[in-house]
Parts: sequence; C-alpha cells; structure tokens
Amino acid sequence: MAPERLIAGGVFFAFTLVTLAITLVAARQAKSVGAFYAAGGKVSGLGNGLAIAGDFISAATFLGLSGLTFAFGGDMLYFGVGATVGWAIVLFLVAEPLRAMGRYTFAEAVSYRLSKGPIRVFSAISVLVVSLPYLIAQIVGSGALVESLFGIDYRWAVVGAGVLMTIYVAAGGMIAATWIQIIKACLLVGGGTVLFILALKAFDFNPAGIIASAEAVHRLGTNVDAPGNYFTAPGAAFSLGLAMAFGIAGFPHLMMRFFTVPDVRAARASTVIAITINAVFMAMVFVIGMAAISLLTVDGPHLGADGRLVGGGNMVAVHLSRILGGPAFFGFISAVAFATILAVVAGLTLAVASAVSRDLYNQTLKNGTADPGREIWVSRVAVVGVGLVTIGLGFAFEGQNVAVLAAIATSIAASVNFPVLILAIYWRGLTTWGAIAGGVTGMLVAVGAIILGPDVWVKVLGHAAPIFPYTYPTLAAMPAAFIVALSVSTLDPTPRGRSERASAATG
Amino acid sequence: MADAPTPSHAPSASPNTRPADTPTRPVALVLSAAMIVAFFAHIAAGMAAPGLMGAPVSWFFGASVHVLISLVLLTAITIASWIYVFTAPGEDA
Repeated sequence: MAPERLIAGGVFFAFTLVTLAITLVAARQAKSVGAFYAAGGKVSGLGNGLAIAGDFISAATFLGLSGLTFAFGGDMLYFGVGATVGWAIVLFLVAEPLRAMGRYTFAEAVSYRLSKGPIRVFSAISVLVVSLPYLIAQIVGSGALVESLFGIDYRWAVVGAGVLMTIYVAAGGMIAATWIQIIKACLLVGGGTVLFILALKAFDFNPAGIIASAEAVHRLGTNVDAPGNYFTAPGAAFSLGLAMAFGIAGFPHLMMRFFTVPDVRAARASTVIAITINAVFMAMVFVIGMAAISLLTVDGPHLGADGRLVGGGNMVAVHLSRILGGPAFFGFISAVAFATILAVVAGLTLAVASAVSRDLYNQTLKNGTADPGREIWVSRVAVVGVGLVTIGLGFAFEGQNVAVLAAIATSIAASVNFPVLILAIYWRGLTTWGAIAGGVTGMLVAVGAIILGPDVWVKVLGHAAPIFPYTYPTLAAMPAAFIVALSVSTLDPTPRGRSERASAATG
Repeated sequence: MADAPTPSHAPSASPNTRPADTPTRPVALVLSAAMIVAFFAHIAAGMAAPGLMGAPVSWFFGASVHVLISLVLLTAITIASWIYVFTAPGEDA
C-alpha cells in the first residue's frame, strides 16, 4: 500500500477509535431523554460553537466549494458570504428565542402555542425532506473520498460510512455527536489553515501570484475571479442567495444545537463563534481553490488518463494537500475530510431520528406518554433505518457535486422550515393550519421545482430543457410558503383558527 | 393532546407565552436588514455588471472588485456579530 494510504488509514482509524470511545462514554450518560437529544443542556458556548461550525463546515464546504472555486472561480464567494449572512440571521433573529423555548426539536419549537399534533406530523416530514438531500451530499462525498484515497469501491465506502454513523448516533446520541463535532471542527479548521498557509507559501505569500497564475491557466482567463461564471442567470444567483441567507435557520440539525447549551448567553456565544469560524474558513477555501487552479494543472497522480482530476471535482482540496504537503499531509487531510463527513452525517441522523421518535412516536402516537427508555429505543431504530436509506441513496447519487447537493438541501430548508419557524417566533397571528399550509406549500414547490429543474429533469431524467430554470427552488418556493402561511392564518375559517386568532389578539 | 414535558434545564414558560413575547433588540432587526440588503445588492451588482465587478483592484493583489466586496462583507458581518454579542444584555432573554 502506498505511504499516503497507510498514513491516511492510520489517522482515520485513530480518529475512529477515539470517537468510538467517546461514544461509549456518552452512551453511559445518554440514559435520559434530555441527555440523548440535548446533551442535558450542559454544553458550553465555546463547545457548542465549535460543534455548530463543525456541523456546517461539512464535505460540501471544504470539498465542494474548493471544487467549485477550481471550476468556476469567483461565484463560490456567493456561497461563502451567503452562509455567513445566514449564520448572522440565526444569531440576530433565531438563536435567543429558540433557546428560550427550551424544547428539543424543530416541531416542539414551531408548535410552542399551536396545536401540537398536526404540527408535529408536518415537522417530522419536513425534517426528513430537508435532511435527506444533505445526508446524500455527505455520503456521496465520503464515497468519492475513500474511493480515490484507498482504492476501495465507492459502494463499500458508502456502506462503511453509513455503518459507522449508525453506531455513533444509535449508541451515544447528542453527547457523542457533539464531542465528535468538536474534535472534527478543530481538526478540519487546523488542517484547512495549514493547507491555506501552504498554498500561500507556494506563491511566496503573495496573493497576487495566486490570482495571476489562476488567470494564466484557467479557461475563464482574467474573468476567473469575476461573478457570473457559475450563475449565468440573475434568478439562479438570487435563488441561491435566498437559500444560503435563510436556509441555515431552517436546518433542524443545526437548530437542535441551541437546545444543548444552558442559557441564552451561551446560545449567543455559540453562534458568534460559529460565524467567525465560518467566515474565516470560507475565505480560506476560496484561496485554496484559486491556488489549486494553477497547481493542479501540472501533471501528477491527481490527473487521470483523460486529464481530469481523479475522484472528480470534489477532490481538489485533497489533491492539493498531496502536492503542497506530501503524503503525510495528504493522508491527514483525507482522514479529516472523511471524519468530517462522518460527524455531519451523525448530527443529521440524530435530527431525523428525533423527529421520528419524539414527534411521531411519543408526541403523536403516544400522546406524550411514552416510556423514555422506549422512546430512545425507537430513536435508535430510526437511526438504523435512516442509515440504510442514506446508504441506498448514496449509491443512487454517485458522482453528483456535493456542494450543489448541499445547497439544494439548504434551499429546501429555506423554503419549508424557515418561513414556519420565523412566523412562529415573530407573528402572533400564525395559526396551526396556516403554518402547515405554508410549510407544505414550500415543500411541494421546492421539491417540484428541483425535480423539474436542470439537475434532475435534464441531467437525471434526460430531458432537453428544464421546466423550472434554476437548480435552487428558493426564489419560487420561499415566497410561496410565506404567502400561503400568512393568507391561511388570516382567513382560516375553522373554529381552531378563529380561536388561535382570538388568543393572539388578546395576547 | 399532551405537551412535551419541559426539560429540567429549560427556562420555565407560561403556556400562553411564546418567543414573540420576548422582545428582540431593535439593533438585531437593523443589522439583519442591513446584511440582507448588502448581500443581495452584491449579488445584483455581480449579475448586472459582471465586467465591473470582475475588474482588478491593483492595490488588492490584482483580485477583482467582487472578491474585495466579498471579503469586506465577511469581515463586517463577523465584527458586527461580535459587537452584538458583547453589547447584549447579561440576563437571559
């Protein structure tokens, strides 16, 4: 086996052993419902901020966005700035009231004063719809990474990641998922920083050299750092902008983390730490991608016989680490990237599992009277089910760009969960059926537009032209969700609607 | 239908209160609006005038106006967030 594979394998197995040990310790502490879902509300602001950053800085950010920069240059910055705006909106408008509720799941937050049953069923479905594309993005990234690193078949790589993820979450719950995220965030930010410094060093710490070299070899020439190369239509860019700015607040696996801290102050601290890490990391990823443009065009083991990158466009940062840091650093970055995927998948799976076990099983089927031990058992069964579904979808979506897949998930979150959550927090007039109608409208329009859009209608189904012109559906779906939620809440003629409006009017 | 038991670590809340009853600081709304306007103005400028936004800035390593504005936005949002947190009331909302 090549040295880099031995090193990467060593780092990966070391990480796996450490995190499995954490999981076993966490499993002993995850006996209560509060500990399993929300780590007992005892995570510090710093720890939670690192975990949140770890949840968001995923394969899509590190692997996908460096790949997008490599291919399209400056448009990647819309993703980076948009994500930072999204986190700031979470800080300014969502984190504090969400933490003040003291609930465990998205459904419990939305149904704070509305009718619990229907909201919980809708929310559980929306959590599944939002989380699955994000899970697919992570699992596809893991398959490509392990395939190119170890030479293991893509499908076996996906199975391995799925099994490990299932063990982590099923055993350890939120405590394990949080600690894995913290360790991973430190490793990824550290590794990314070293790669960033090595990229600058390759150009004698002169950013002008990176820009000039990229312009000299890229097919876009001097336009490589200009906007408009990936987004060729304004609507596509605005749709992505809406998704990034408002989708983060709609991600249940990210919002769940505000329930793991002891108070509102810690929630604020968590968010600002996540914002800082996110902003710095996005800037570094752009530089890494720009440096890769000239450094990866020279011949080497990173190029296949067809002149394309081995493992596809998602492997830009990984290949760059081999060129700049040698086999050891290549192994380290690969292992950290894989661990990143594993950790993000664990957090997502926990969000889905909690939606099934808490919102559907306990609160809906058992009227909130389920035995806590039984509820955790159902959650663990749900984790196994989600693991199997994710592995299957990982097979189906082999070869897709992980950044695009993740952004599609973000656009669904912005279209389905964000309108309902923000109205539940800030508008007293929201009624149960208004929330459900708005959310379902956002979901149907978003999923429909994705199916009719260029990535599925044309690339997967083989049609000549898309019916919906943009990859991201947010431009149509998010306003539709808001309009329907507001309209139905205002006009709802049912006794429940009248009662909820009267209750809101009297305060 | 029974509500979920309030977790022991959660702040207590009356059944008739919800987050809307917890006032959001006006500065949070102002900062949110400013960020959203700036971000979408950035997108609009990039789509309407890609040539102008792609023009190199000599004193900024030859990188484009687009890159410069992006870094300015990233920095401004981060600094604004820290100021917001440091100036937040000490007590729980």
